[in-house]
Amino acid sequence: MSGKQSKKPRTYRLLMHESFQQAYLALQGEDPQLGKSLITQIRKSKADPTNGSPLDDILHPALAGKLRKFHVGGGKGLRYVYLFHAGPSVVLPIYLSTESKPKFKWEQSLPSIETVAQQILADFQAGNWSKFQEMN
Amino acid sequence: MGSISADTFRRVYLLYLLARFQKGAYGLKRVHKVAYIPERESNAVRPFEFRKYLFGQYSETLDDIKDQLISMGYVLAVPLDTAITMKIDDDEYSLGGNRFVVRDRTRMNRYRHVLGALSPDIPKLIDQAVKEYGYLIEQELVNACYRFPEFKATAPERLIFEANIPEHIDIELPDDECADLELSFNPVFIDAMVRLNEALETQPIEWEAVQEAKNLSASNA
Repeated sequence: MSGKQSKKPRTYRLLMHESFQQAYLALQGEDPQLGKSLITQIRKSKADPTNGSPLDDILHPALAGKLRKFHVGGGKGLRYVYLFHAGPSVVLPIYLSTESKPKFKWEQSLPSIETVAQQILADFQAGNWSKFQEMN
Repeated sequence: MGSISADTFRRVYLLYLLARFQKGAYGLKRVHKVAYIPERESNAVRPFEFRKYLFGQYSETLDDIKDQLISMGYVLAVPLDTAITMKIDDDEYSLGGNRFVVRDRTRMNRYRHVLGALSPDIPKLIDQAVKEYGYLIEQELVNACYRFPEFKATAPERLIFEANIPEHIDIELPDDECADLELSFNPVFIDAMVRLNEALETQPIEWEAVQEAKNLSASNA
């Protein structure tokens, strides 16, 4: 054998919890254009999760570079945050901010972020796979 | 310009203070005392309240925030050589103190900027407190702190200082970066993400039990 071997790109699977799906459906009902933009960004995260911007202030070594975000509807729009893991090649959408940034109040959103994160974790650990869907 | 919550500011403040200890902060009593020093300045920004307790200046809020930083894995609590480890059933307990070590110091310049939002003097005051008091022999540190007039004038278990920072702090950073800070310093969120990451490593996903998301195709959007 000679020459350079081309490295096959890793294919990720996208596992979406029902809480994120509900957030998407609510957005789609309110603003179909933003819903479309979200789907585009989700697809980008699935195609190559390293394309999103890393949350650099997360200092835990186990999470380094694994939590990332995309903007939805432009830089002043919503934020789509996801976790990915190269081992099992999985992308997990975690959170979608529900308001565009100029109106965004973190203190109102934090309880929901915490609840959603804990719910995804609990269902994953319990193997409640019916709470998840795969987006192809 | 964005804003962050008071609790996020406190977490950044304590992380920055602990990071200034180049070899780690030896013992919790020392951390309380050194964190107290910058709050003594007149017109000081006071993220933490301090009471006069049995072992001197003590802040319950600081203790909570320290625990949160440890739970997020941003600070390591390493038992001191002089500590005694007790094993009860399968659990190990350390008596006699810890050395607190910041795991990643790469973002400290950014945190100086965050702290400077309330007063440009804060980072300098913290640096100075750690430099002057951080590595004193413990008894010397305690003696110095007991000599402060406001400490002497306070009755046991009474407040020496109230915290005085606002609930929302405007920072000269884009909204987006403030949102990142809030998320990155939220202990509940970080704990869930660390454990989810572990679960991804160890627990196989039963893909055959996962349904396809039919209403999420691009054509439906």
